[in-house]
Amino acid sequence: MNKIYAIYDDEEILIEGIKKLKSNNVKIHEVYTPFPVHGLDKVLGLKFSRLGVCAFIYGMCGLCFAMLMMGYMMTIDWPQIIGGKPNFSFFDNIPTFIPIMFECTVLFSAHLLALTFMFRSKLFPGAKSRNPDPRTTDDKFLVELHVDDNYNDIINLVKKTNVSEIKTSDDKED
Amino acid sequence: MKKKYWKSIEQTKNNNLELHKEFADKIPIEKIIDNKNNFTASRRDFLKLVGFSTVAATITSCETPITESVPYLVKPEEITPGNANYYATTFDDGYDFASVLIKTREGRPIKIDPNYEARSLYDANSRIQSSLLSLYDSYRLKSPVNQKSKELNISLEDYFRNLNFDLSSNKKTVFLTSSFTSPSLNNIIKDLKLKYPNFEIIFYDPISYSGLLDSYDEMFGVRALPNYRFEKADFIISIGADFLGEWLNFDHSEGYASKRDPDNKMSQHIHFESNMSLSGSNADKRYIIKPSEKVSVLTNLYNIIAKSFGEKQINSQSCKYDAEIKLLAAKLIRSKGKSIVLIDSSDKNLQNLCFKLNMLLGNINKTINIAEPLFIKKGDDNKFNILLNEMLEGKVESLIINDVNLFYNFYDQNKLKKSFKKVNVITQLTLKENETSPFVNYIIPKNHFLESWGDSNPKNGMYTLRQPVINPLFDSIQVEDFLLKLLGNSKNYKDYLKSFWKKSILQSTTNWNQVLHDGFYFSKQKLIINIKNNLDINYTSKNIWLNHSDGGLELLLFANHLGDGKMANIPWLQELPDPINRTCWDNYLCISKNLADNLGLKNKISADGQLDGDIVTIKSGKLELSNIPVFIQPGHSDDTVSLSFGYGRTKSGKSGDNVGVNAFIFYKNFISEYSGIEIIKQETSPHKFASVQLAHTMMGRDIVKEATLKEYKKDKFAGNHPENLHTPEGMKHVENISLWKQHDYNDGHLWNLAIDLNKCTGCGACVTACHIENNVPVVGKSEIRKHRDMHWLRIDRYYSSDMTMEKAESLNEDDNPNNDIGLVKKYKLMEEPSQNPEVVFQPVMCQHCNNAPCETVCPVAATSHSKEGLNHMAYNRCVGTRYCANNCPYKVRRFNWFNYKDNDDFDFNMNDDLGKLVLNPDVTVRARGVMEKCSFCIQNIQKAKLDAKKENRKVKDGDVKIACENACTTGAMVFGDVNDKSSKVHKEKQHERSYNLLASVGTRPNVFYKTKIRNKKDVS
Amino acid sequence: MSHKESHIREPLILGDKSYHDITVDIARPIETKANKWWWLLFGLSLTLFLWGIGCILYTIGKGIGVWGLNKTVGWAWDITNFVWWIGIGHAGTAISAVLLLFRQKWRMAINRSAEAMTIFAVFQAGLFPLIHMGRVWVGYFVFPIPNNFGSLWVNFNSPLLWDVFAISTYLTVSIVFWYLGLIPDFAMLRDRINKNVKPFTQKIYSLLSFGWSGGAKDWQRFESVSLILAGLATPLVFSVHSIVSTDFATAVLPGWHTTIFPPYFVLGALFSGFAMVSTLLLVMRKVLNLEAYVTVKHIEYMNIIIILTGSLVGVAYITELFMAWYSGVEFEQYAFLNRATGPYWWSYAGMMTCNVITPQIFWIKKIRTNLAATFVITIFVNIGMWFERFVIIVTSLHRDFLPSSWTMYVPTFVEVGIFLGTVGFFFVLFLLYSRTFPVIAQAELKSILKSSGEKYKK
Repeated sequence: MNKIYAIYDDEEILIEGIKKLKSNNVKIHEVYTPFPVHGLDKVLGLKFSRLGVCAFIYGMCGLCFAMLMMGYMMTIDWPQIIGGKPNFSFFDNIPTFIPIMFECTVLFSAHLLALTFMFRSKLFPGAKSRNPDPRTTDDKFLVELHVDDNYNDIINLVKKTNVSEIKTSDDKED
Repeated sequence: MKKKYWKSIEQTKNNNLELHKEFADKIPIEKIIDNKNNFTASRRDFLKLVGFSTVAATITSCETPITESVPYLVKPEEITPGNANYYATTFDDGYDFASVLIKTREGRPIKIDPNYEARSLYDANSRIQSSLLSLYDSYRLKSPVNQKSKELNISLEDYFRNLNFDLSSNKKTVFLTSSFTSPSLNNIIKDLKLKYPNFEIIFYDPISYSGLLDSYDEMFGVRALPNYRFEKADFIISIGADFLGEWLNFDHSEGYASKRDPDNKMSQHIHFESNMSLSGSNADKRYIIKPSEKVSVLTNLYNIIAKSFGEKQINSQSCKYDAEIKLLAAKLIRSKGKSIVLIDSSDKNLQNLCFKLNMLLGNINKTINIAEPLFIKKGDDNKFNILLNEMLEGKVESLIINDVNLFYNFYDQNKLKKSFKKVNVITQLTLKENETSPFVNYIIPKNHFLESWGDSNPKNGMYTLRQPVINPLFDSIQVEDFLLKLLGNSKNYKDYLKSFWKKSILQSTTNWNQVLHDGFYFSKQKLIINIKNNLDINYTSKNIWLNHSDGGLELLLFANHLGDGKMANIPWLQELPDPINRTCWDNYLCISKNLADNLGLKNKISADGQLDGDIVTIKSGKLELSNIPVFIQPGHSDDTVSLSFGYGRTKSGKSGDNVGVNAFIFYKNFISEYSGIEIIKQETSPHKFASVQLAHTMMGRDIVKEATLKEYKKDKFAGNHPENLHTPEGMKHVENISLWKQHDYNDGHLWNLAIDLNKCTGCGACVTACHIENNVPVVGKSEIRKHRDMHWLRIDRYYSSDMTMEKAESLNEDDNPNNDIGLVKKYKLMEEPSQNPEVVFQPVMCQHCNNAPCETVCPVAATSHSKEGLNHMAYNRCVGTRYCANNCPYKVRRFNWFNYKDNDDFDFNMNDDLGKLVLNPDVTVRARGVMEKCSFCIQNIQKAKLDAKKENRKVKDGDVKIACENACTTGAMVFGDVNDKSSKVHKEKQHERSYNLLASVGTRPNVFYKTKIRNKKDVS
Repeated sequence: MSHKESHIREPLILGDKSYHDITVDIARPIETKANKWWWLLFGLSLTLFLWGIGCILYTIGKGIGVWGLNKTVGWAWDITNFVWWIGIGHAGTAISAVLLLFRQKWRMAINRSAEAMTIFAVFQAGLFPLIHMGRVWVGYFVFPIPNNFGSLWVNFNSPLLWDVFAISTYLTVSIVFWYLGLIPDFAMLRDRINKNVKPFTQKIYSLLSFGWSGGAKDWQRFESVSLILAGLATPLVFSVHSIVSTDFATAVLPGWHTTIFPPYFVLGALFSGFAMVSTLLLVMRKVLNLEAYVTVKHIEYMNIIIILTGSLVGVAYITELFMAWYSGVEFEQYAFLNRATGPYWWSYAGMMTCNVITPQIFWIKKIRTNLAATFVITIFVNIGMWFERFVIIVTSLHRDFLPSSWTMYVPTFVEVGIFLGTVGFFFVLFLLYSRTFPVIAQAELKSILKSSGEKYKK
């Protein structure tokens, strides 16, 4: 199985190119860009990311954690008279709990969200970078194709999408 | 064969001797240093030697006299570790007198309380309470010293064996002593006199009352002090006599306070004075005079009254208050037999005149108890002056000085030096070396009063006993034993005392042990005192101007809480702020604002918010005293300056030395008033004062609520109308406004403290009591100057100001626009106290708020509230954010800025092995970085509850005595459980006068105050 | 294309830059040697920092007593500095989060440094609540863990405890937000640096880049994560300073007990934050010659925000005075009169001039767009905001309810030293950052090159 790397100089040409390839139903394995190219996900038909949902769930966990913690510590385990405040009932005393409830919500959802993201995108210290060409983090836009049959047709197809250069996995060896 | 046990596994293997060797090889000294002293040691041997010798040296140099603690082998049946024992005894140092209770723990005296059962003469003022620390003063003399042969630490035996003065010689042997009233000691003296006719005793009071004593002698045939009965007086006129403060060192405040209750026949107190004294500040009306004007005030008053009684008048000169004096005289006549007129003067004749006046008013045996005069002062100026001359003439063989520090408190040092040289042998009996010691031959350490036996006869018919509560800490002797030895009496004083009392004081029926337990005894047989009513008026009038060269600036010398300076080395006293000007670690020349302006003298508030005062020299004739800081005192006479005794010690100890200046230099012929004073400003950098309060007025706030008696009679709530606030549901009382349901304190105890501002005289005994009870650290002058005083209980003092909210309002409202004053100007003026301000005192400690702002803000819950209404403080939980202190509206929380214990920067009793013995084991010594504050003496509350539990009963009202309340003999403070309907404090709380401080903040304190009522009835 | 914008808008990227030029420009500071100005500043900051450490150790060794505090004024420079730094630490997240939500493109050139500043400022701020404790060594008591006997927990009624949560949340979330943004840029550096020339540096950056490869899905996730984080961070920004303000607002002290504190403090924070950002950027764009990216336009935008917040803060001051008068409460009225006319009038005057009057000069476009003027004024604003906190804390404390305990306060060299120390520490961090981190979010910037680049607007 060979890999084809089509490298573009400009995101607009890239988009055009991908469209063309898609229309000739060539399966695009991955696209590497130096910055988020708007509309790319549509062209590639990527699914909507569900990270937002996670964030919400994490936040709710944080909220519950805060309420349980404060309720337990202040009103269940060791209630004290403090400044005459109604410490013997969680709900009478809720105004003083709100700030920390909020903080915990944010704390949980932000951190867990970040972790989830890193987990899903395999980001962690020492992770191996997968972009085939270092210039893709600078100013080049790279489309990676995996093909086994009709290899040449696809090369030609790619050539037609005014691509700046094409690399294939075998000449990537040396 | 002998059975053998293995000492170790090795032994089983090879049974070599090494194992049995118990001690290491000895150090081969001879190898190390051969006889020719060449050093031939191996490195290791040398190190061994060094190590050994260092340790040896260290060990031998460690000498801990008393701190070693030995567990009881056989427990003394009266001591239970952890329980306090109380012993009744007598404090009598010739200056103060009181029958007191000593609290001891594990055999250590740790507190001095009033002995209320004595019913009279039991007031333990700040000085008496603090005297406790003089027991643990590391500067005490450890053993006798022979200064002639320069040998220290001779034994008493040596002293008596070669007693190198001859009692029976034809030259005098004089026993010069501070006042004492001990009958047994008098008896010993009597015997000494019988045995040695040339033996003589002279009494010396540093602050003399000779004039009054002589006058009393002349009027009533006894050399004693009058016993005023303020509890019987409706109308009091004091002419410069600070009877609530230091005057006579007798506690008049209790009787006085008992008549300050507006609900039943409140007394009226008129005060004439030059400086601002405690009595003056408590007076209903205060008139400012110069000291010399006392004469004209008294004579004019006398003349008007004499006239109305058809008595001969005396010649007098008019004074600026004649109009007022007329009114006063009229009122005096109206309240016949129910008034007191008193005057402070060393002039016998003035005192005579004053007695005469009281006689005319029929106060004798009514408000002045002639039958029971006080014997607590004995000093005789003339006799002392004669003695000095005799010494000069070499008529004195030997001098035995007991507890008198002439070289500090006698004005003519040169004369002293000369006369001391002429005396063959001088022996000094003293607690510790002092200014006099360098001029004597022998210094004999004397027992502290807590280490000694004794008795006294403070007042006609009243006898008290002194008993030791701890063994003498050092090789010291008590005066009585010393004299018995002189007498050659083999008996020790304890037995002597007992037998003497059995013989000549106690009735056969009364039990010695009982009296010893009570500490006092009222005897039926007393000497009969009759009035000699033959006072010759002309004679008086002739000499009445004696001592008063008039004209010029006048100087008044007075005593403050340091008294005669004997206890200057006690840091507690030094750090107790003066009740009037709230300044400590200093004495200063008090002058009025006007005078200061005329002389160009200034008091500046420095950038760090402390007081800096110019420094002056005062001069009169040959007498001169310099480096006196000037303190501007509101209500001070414009042509008088005043200076307090008791400071400027040079040989008292680390705390007392070089604090302030020695005013005794000006105490010429024992006269405390001086005229023709010059003040020279010194061009030096200003003096740095250490004041704890510098804002003098209440800024128109409702802090101390006041009303006049007239208003109060009309409306019980006068000056104390309940604080209502606007709420959505209309006006509501602060107590009824709350965001949430309040906690319920109605079952169980709810501890409350009531403070009656009418009874509080501001004396400060409670502050000292609190200081001692709760191990409050002393921080020293520089820290006080940084406003870091640690007192848990303080007494705020406020002056009235000419500018008030109402006045400002009226000024703005009247139609004259140029009267209007703006907001800024108004407040600036309100900061200024009046020329002759009214003064209020307000003790403030932790208010134990039920809605405590401090509790809410502590992140670690180090301070929280108890079911009994106490605001707790968990020291070991505190992280020291100081948020609680910031959020406390009363600013009663105190932070440990440094480590105050075992810290050489704070070299007071907590940095001193001996001094630490005074600490109260029931109270933690706080560490650095934690917050502390009044706990309502929770240790006492818990004790009372435990005792009640053991006896399985409820806690009774009065079971719990907290330190401040217990020290307050006027009964201004009442502590107790408000849930106990029968308790005194419950009654107080219901009273119309009771109010919470800053109630509008909504803190709901458990401390409440009672409105101050002034009796201004028909006096201008 | 869709993201082309109208030509009326001024370009945010000057000169004709290509994607590659941006890469080069951003990478330059890291690849070149530091100039002498950098070393000078760094040396100076380091000295201050060390001096500060000395003062802190001295305090911990002897006790808080070495500061100028007393029984009445329990907080002064310590908490003043705390609030001041926290305030400064607000712009960063505000810029990157709030402006991101509002799709303000001009944020992209500055948010990286703004966030860095935020984080470094919060470090300084966090230091003070710690060292102002009388017993630092038991500082861990403030965390919700039981005491050694098991049952004594923390007190959730205390605003100080809210602070603990607020600040730790704010700090950590800001760091995460910042770092996620950094990942693609680290990746860029990783791929630029030649493995054989600088193997070590290359290793470091590849570690830091977490193996970012810039795949389409990654970018999609990346964008939605930064959007969500922005959404979370925005209320966080407002909450943090609101909570800090409750340290005072929940107290009973006249001058502290005020309901307008939360918004008032947040505004003040943004105000001082933006001022500090401009101050730093003005220096940075010069030193690292990034004039093409941090343009006068950026500075102007920020100055406009400074006028806005400054004026709002002014309104808050007036409101306070009005409320004091209107409340009719004796203590309140005096407290505010004392602020303006009492012994500390100069601090109040300083606050008013620096915070309310000075920023108004920005109404003039000439000044608003003049870098030197901006620099001076922003410095003024920072001073003014320090005074504001000093006024609130010290003048309210030193004269409260009972005149008997009125005192004054003067700082000692130790307090001053600690403050300077934190300033030093802050700049040490920032200078190191400016030489080792991509100081501009180049990936984001590239995405707007075509819409807002000068070259493409021709």
